[in-house]
Amino acid sequence: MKDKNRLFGRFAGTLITLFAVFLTAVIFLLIFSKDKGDSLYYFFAGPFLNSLSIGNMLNSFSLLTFSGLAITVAFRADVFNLGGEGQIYIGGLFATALLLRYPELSGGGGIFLATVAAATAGGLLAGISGWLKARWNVDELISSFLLSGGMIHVADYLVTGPMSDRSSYLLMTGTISEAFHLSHLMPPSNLNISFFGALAAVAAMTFFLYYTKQGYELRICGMNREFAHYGGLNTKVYTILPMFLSGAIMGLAGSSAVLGVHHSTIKGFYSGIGWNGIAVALIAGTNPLAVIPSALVFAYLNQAASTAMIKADFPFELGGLIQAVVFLLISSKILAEKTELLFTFIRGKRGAGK
Amino acid sequence: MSLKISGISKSFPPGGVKACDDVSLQLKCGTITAIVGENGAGKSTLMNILCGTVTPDSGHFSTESAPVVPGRPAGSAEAGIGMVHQHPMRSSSLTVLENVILGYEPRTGIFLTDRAEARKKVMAIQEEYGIELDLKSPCSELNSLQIQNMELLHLLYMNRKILIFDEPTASLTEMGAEHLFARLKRLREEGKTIIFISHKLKEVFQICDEIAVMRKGKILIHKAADELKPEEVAALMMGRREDINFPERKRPEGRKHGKRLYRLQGVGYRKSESRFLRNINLNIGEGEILGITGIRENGLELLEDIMAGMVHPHEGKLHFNGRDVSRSGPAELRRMGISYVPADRLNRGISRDSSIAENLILLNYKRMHKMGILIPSSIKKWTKEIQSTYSIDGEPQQPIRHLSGGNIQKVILSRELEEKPDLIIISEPSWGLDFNSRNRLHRELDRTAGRGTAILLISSDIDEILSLSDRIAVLYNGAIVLEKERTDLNRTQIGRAMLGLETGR
Repeated sequence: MKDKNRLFGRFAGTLITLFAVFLTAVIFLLIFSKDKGDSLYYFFAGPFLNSLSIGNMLNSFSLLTFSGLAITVAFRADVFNLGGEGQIYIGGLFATALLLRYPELSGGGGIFLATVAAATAGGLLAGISGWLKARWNVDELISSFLLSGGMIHVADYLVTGPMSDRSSYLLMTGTISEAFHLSHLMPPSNLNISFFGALAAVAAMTFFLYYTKQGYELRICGMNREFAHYGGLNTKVYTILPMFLSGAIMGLAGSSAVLGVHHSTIKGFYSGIGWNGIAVALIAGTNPLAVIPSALVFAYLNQAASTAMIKADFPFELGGLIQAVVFLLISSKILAEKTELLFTFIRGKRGAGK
Repeated sequence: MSLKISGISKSFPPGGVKACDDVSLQLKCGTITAIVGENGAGKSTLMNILCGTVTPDSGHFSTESAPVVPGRPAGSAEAGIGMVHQHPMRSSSLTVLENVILGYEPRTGIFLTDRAEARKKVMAIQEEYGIELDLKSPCSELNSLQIQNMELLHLLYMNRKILIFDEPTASLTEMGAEHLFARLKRLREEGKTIIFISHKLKEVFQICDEIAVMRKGKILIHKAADELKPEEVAALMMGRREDINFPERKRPEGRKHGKRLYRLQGVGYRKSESRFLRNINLNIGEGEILGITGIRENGLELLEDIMAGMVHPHEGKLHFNGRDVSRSGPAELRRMGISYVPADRLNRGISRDSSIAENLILLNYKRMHKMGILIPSSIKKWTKEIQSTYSIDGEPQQPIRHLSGGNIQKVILSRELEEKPDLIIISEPSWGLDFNSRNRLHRELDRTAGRGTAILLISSDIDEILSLSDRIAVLYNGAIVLEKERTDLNRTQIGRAMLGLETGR
């Protein structure tokens, strides 16, 4: 009975949140849009109208799946990675740099090496925070945020300075050779085979967490560190490893954006992927499989806002506003927990009254 | 002002265990009344009722002037009842003065605090009672005695007439305690009514005028201190049960035990002024149960942490099987064959939100994988086996927090026993268990020792210690004051040693 309540409370919380998000969007839309009917239509149906929209939505889904999964892994071990944006950026930059330096690599080999480089770079960047935490108990939340913030500026310098493409008017590095482009699935949209990579990453992470020895150790450390220490587990390793994994998956998001979409590192291409990953993970609630529906909802919201913006007079700022509302509501995911508490409280009161 | 308590009862949870059972007491003004009793006797509940933070199920209490509305802190405050807490609550970022006047600041205008006025008032009280405290210093810099003084100052500032001191000496050094006693006498002369909660009989007899003994929620006796003897009070506190036989015990008494397995040599540890261990020497042989007892806060928890490798001793050595393990953590100790069942079962012994299976395989999963992969079906099968062997309720996938305390203890114990350890450190094993689970647990421990496993039983429950141990050591104030074969000891001796009244090795 109690279990049911809890499950319901959790589920209800998420549904209430999502409902509130859509409601806010509609209310804003009705207030600010002159052509209300069109805006509403494009907001709700827009993402499904043509293969371009669907493809772009699915592409943004795969990027969000990577970043959401990265945050979920950290959550599982009860550590927090706030440096997603920097890790994505650095990951993408390393992948680009490698492919620009060795353009003679074979297509498959180049893609593989670039992906590994991106994951390693992102993983090391986050891993430093994990190590600082294990060694000197430096708060990983702060250190990952600051480290990544610093690295973003270093990367900005590289992208606009030494590595910049002089022939382009954009702030970006040179373009990688066509052999390394990930094949597109629904041209002209951005959807590419990294979509399957994202799904595979979710499957691999689920397998790792629930079916391997190290996954068990990681989850136990995340659940109760004192218990893990008491049981003889090496708790320090499980501060560093989940941060590394988290950063590595962020790096994968970077490489898939670079290899699949931009074909170079553009200044600030990470924007929106890193932070939204946190919201995706919060909705998923530490369950790696739940990252998939959660990222899908987010991708849909993004695409809905942009389609409505292009096709109707949906104001540009509204997209950002909706994201802000999402973030606000989700960070108060406490809502879900509180719903449950509230139920028990009311029931207790009623019981006491009798 | 005198205080009259009549017929107060309170059960936790409603209809469950009676923490207070029809308690009636008359407290005169200008006297210090001690309320003594073991942990869980109901003292704290009674005091919380007096302070209005707990609502009694029935009964009432009143001062000379008027009855007090129970269950309302403000009502108790108006009646002049105030408590110096054992673990005082304070806002550490504020200064002493701000804490003292908190909630009752003299005002200028609508919302500004008149600091000068407040300072004058508080200084006057300080002078009157000789309480030395720098009003400007921030609270975070105070030691435990100063914090206590600050709380007292707060109560005097609010002109409370009935003062409750909840184990005030628990965190004080001997010097600090002397200071406190002098102050209590002074307050008595002022005509305050003082309630002194303690389980240290020595100091109770040193300073109290009247003594009330509480056990299992009842006041057993309330008399003037000079009509009572410490032994008598101790016996009442512990409960006199002459007919202790050992129904669970299967092992022969006074048997010679195997080779010496584990040894503590001059172990010392200092956590704070009042929490320390000094020069602990103990050893235990195969198949032996060594019972270590004492009243909580005399070092039992520290000893548990040190023996389990959770903290390392500041001085002295620990040896296991001839190897120095003074610096070994839990992981290493476990590899050597030491199991550990902690007193803090819910935070250390289990991971509450994990499943029963995940909790059970904590020590065993390393043997259950195939090339690093854990097979869910074999985990489930193994869990079911353990569950049926030890009759543990629940499905393997259920979160463990759904289990009862007794079942949780069985999960922990079975997990530790399945490792076939040479030594088990087990602390307060029957806390929160009902009579039957407790008996089952005792039988299990008895059987385990019979198979040759050494058991270090840390428990503040005398009955448990007496029924299981081969040898008993008593901790008092961080040192071992008594260590003898069980057959050479009786309940009264142990009780007296726990209170620091008897020594012997």
